[in-house]
Amino acid sequence: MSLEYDKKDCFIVDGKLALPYTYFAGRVGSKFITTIRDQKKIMGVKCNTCGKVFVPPRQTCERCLEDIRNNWVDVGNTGEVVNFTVVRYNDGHLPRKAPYVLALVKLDGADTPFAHVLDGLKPEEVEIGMKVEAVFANETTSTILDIDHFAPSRKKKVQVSDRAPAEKAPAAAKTKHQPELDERRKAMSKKVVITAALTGAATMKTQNPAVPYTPQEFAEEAYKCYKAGAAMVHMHAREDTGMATHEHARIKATHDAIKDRCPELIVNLSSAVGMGKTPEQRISQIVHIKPEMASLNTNTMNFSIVDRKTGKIFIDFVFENTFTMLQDFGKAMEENGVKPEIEVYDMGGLDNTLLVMKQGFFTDPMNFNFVWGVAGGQAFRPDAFLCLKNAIPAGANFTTCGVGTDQFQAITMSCLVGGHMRVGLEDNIRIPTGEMAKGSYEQVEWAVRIAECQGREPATPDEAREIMGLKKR
Amino acid sequence: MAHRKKNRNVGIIGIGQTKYSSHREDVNQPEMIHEAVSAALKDAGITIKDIDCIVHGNMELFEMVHQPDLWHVLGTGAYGKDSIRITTGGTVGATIGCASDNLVASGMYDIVMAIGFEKLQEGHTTGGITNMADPLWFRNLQTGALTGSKAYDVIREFGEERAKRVSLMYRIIMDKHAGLNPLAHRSFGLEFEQIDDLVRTSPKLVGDLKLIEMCSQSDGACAVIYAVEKKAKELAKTPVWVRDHITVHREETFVMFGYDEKYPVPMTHRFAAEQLYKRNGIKKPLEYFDVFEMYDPAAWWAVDWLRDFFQLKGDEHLKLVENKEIMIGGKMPVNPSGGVIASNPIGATALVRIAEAALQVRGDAGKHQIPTPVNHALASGFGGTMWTVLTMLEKELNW
Amino acid sequence: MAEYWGVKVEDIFNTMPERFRLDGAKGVDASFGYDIKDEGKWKLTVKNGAMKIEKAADLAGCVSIMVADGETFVGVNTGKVDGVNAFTSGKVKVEGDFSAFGKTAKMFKKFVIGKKEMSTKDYILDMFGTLVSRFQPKNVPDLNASITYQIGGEGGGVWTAIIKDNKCTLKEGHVEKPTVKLEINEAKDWVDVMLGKSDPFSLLSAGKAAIVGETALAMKLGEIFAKYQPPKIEFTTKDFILDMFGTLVGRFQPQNAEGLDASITYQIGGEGGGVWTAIIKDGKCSLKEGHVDKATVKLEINEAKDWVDVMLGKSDPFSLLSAGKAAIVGETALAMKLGELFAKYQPPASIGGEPEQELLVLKKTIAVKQRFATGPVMGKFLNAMKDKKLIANKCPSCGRIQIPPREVCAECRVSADEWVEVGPKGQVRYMEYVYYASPDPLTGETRETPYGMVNILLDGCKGHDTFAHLIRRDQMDIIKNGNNEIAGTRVRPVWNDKRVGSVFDIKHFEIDE
Repeated sequence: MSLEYDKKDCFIVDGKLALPYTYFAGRVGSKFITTIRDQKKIMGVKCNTCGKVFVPPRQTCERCLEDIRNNWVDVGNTGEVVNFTVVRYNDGHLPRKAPYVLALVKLDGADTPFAHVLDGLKPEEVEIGMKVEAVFANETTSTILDIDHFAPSRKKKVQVSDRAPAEKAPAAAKTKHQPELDERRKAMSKKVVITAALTGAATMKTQNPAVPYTPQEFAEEAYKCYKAGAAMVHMHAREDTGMATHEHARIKATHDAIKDRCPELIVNLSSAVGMGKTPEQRISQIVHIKPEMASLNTNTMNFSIVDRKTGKIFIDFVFENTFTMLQDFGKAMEENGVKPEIEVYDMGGLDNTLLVMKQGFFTDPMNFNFVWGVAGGQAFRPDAFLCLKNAIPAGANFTTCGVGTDQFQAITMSCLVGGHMRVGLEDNIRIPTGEMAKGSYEQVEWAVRIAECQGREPATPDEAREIMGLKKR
Repeated sequence: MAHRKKNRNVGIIGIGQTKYSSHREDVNQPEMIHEAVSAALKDAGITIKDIDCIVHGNMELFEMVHQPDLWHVLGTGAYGKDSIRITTGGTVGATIGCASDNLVASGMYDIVMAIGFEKLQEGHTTGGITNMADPLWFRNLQTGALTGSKAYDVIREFGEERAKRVSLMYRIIMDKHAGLNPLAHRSFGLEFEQIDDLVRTSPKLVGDLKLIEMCSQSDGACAVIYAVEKKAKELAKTPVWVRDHITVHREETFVMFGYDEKYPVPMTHRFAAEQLYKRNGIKKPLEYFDVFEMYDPAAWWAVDWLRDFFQLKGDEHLKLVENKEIMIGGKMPVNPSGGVIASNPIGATALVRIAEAALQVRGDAGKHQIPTPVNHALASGFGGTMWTVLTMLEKELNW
Repeated sequence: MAEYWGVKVEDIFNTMPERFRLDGAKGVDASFGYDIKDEGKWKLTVKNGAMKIEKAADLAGCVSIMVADGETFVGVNTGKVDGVNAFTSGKVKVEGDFSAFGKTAKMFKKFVIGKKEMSTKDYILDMFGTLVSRFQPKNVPDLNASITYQIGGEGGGVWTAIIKDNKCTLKEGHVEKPTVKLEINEAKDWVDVMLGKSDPFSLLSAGKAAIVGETALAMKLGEIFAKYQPPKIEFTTKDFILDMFGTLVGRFQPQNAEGLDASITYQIGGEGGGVWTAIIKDGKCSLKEGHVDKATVKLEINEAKDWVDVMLGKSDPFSLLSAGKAAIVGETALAMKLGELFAKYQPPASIGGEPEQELLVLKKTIAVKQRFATGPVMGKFLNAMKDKKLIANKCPSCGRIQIPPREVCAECRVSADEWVEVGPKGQVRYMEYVYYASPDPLTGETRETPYGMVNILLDGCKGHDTFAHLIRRDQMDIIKNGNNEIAGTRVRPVWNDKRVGSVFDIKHFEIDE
């Protein structure tokens, strides 16, 4: 068409389009925003098929077309910048005056980045990969701007040593020459296996909100511990209400959630489960799930709750572990490829084990855990520790855990005398400063520091498998 | 306009609908769409992996979310698939049905899912429709799709009393049908005794168009799965075959008003129906079809349009209504679902007509299934100023 | 006796003993009187940290007397009515020692409206009781209007909201010539609308409601008043405890209690506490108040409220035990099994057992500035209007005359390039009598109704090529539609003094006499 037409009558008319709109966030979107608004917490949802954690959350995983609306996970308020742009023009609908940074932030517990304002630094200071944290709005509007913006992380996280085992040690342990084996042993003796006991049967969210209940919460907590330097997690699965459970499905879901989130990590289940469970309930779940490792308790004992200050008895409970159970549980584990972690609450328990082991069903190396501070067991004392260490069979490994303030004293000692370390909210809800632990992972961070002070390095899960004699993955 | 026979036959193998409602605050757009999508996949007994292409449609101006198909991937399942978005106004639902049929018939894809939706509570329906008018002139004057002109025409032709009663009669039949459809949005439980009362008391919107006679504004979504003959036969117990469809529209904005017999304007409904019947050799549409799902935005229009769609003369169309021949159990059941007057999520509405017609063919319409066998069904779509889409569905592949 | 928000005046007095706060009554030694219009007189005596309330014939010896009507009294006590406002406005008066009377406020915990479901009447009262506080003047600056709600059926009544000078007042009954009147046949339908279970259009459609007067104002009610939020009904600790034990037998799970012969005593201290024993035998469970001889296990819970928290999942038994707030005496293992023996306690839905999730709604008017190019054809037409001329273009093929003009005739698909001047007078072919108040999409403002949109066959035009515009409002009712046999009303344009080349260079059309 010709552009040569008479344009003298052409002009421009100013118009406007203005209509009222009402958008519904729906259940999933509403929960996302109200949690940010009321709890200052960012939640995502996880697709159990592809394993992706989506932020912002959605009702359906668009890849798997699975309904994921109830799979909430706390993704944390910190993350890293995966991309960004600088907005350099002003417009009424923009949330800030130009110039400002619009960043794609991938939160630590999420797989998808989401866009938000990055503030608190100059545009030229922004780098891809920098750590940022959410700053919440004082005056809330029930919109995504209840996260006011992201800002560079104020607090530097505890540095964790670089975990690159492939470079430091050969992956395959083929041992042709004696000198190489010696080298390897020497190298491995520097390694310390850090276990995070995410939950026992009794610590609750009311004591420390980081105590996981749901499979998703377990998975996230395990992932953080792994990132911090743990090679193994130990756990007692919980119901949504927080009660310890012996239900196979729930324990398996929890176990699998952890394995899905960090496939490398060793998962160690409890054969104690919780108070009032029958022997059948305690062992059948182990046989059903076949974790790489499981706790094996060595003596019938008082396992109670007693006021540490006044001595008043709150719960009086007998933890039943007869010789028969020690034998049957131990055999069941070995037969099903589950390595027992032998729980020693006092010298008597160790002697029970030394007696039963004469039957010959335990495979080498044996792995002991010295447990301190249970009301009904013994409290931590350095000389008692040495006593136990000296009584275990040659070639056996030992680790240790302690209830309350015994925790960090005991693991420091263990690390010093060549043993391994177990921390976690099962045993203690605080960090050595007396502050509430943000999660088991924060205790793992402290354990890493203790190891580093002594010139030892956290073992990777595969190194831990080698040390403890677990089957190769 | 040359019309060729299809390359390949196409059958409907899956149908999914949400409940139609004005209170879906519990879901956002993709979440609501997903309800229909998963229902359609379940109905077809397939998974999203089996779908080759997705055709998505609604009217953006209603919710003011542009290119909504991008956001809606969360619910449509279009992730990593070929996908097409179509907007044609009120006919959207019918057009995505035509497009899906064409895409399969052409050999481009074997299985295509059409998804229509609207969440009218999120915007302002009449304001949105007004916004589609010429911004320099008519936008200043129009009141969306509300017009009393058809009432005026029918009253002028058949007298006030008969016209007003027949419009309400149609409305109450639709309400009775809606009462049998659990997914319907509006179902008031109206009785024929209320006709005189409602003629008097129902608030007027425009001219003699009363609130009771106008369609609802609903939230809802509908998904229909189209498959090539071979797969349709493998997958579905009763595939519903898409025999033909036709689309006709006019440019006019202005001539809709001031209708005059002396200057007959070729009406698109009548024209489309004529063409469709001619090329399919249908002489007596009223006898040929067993059920008709009509896009009936208002009772007045519906009554008048019956004449166009069935090529009737004089007052034959009024008699169809007055003698309740359009009721379930009558000679030509119209909208056993309750129609658009009962449920109107606009972008889905015309696809719902196809879906409901197909359910009638399958015999799966539940309480609103008509009692006689359905071998031939007709579905219409309406939109814009005068835009018609007709779809013919068959039980047997024998034409 | 009259009820307000489901509460009787005597409910307030009767619950005083259980709402009594010892620390608030320290050092008080006096009698206080309450004189409640049409309800009676009550006398409150406080001495040595104890209290007594009684209905009294006379209030002699009281240091001060509160005088109020029943509705205000209940309203202030339940938080439905602002006490300060009630006092300032004279609805509550205090005779005698005013400062002494102030002490009574600290003596009692707040009265919480009870467990019973709210009736239609309660909702209606609450809606209008909260209407003034829900008024949002910033959405309707300078609005001067009265809105009458005429509500029939049980619980109905007539209320009028009067809005003036950015203030809203509520008056019972009618006013003369309200700006708009909402006639609702059944109060319960209106409650459903206000609670979001229904919508006004469904009511109007079904003839269950009507709008008389300015429809446009009625359409704006959602902006004028904030959304009504029904009051949350709260359960006390005592209510929960009673409900828990009331439902305990029903929650018993016999399949998990095979062969069990045991008694479980709950000894619960603190406010709302008590002693209950569940006796399980032969797969059956019975409940008895009080202790039994040698219970198999006894749960000693110091504070009832802690146990409520445990049952509602806000806390857990281990935390209580660890904190020394509870103890287990007897068979601990049985106590550990309670979760299996009894299904989880679910508080009644009406008090938010499964708390209704807050669903977010984002409301906004989206306004986008636009610029439209007229192009040469529409431009020429609009420019001609500046000179009070209406010009159309003619199809060289079929001869139809298009106004407003279009570049081509879409019927014949040829350029329509012959210009002709038409009108400006013409005859009405059809008028749309518009009652429905729609928003003008160019401003977002609701159009004033009713108005008439006319299709005019301008002189010189033919067939259906009519021209759309508005008719003078006061002439709407006398316009006659026409056709080719009968002429419609003759009309002429009323031009604006200032013309810019727009549709509204013509104000409207009017009858040409």
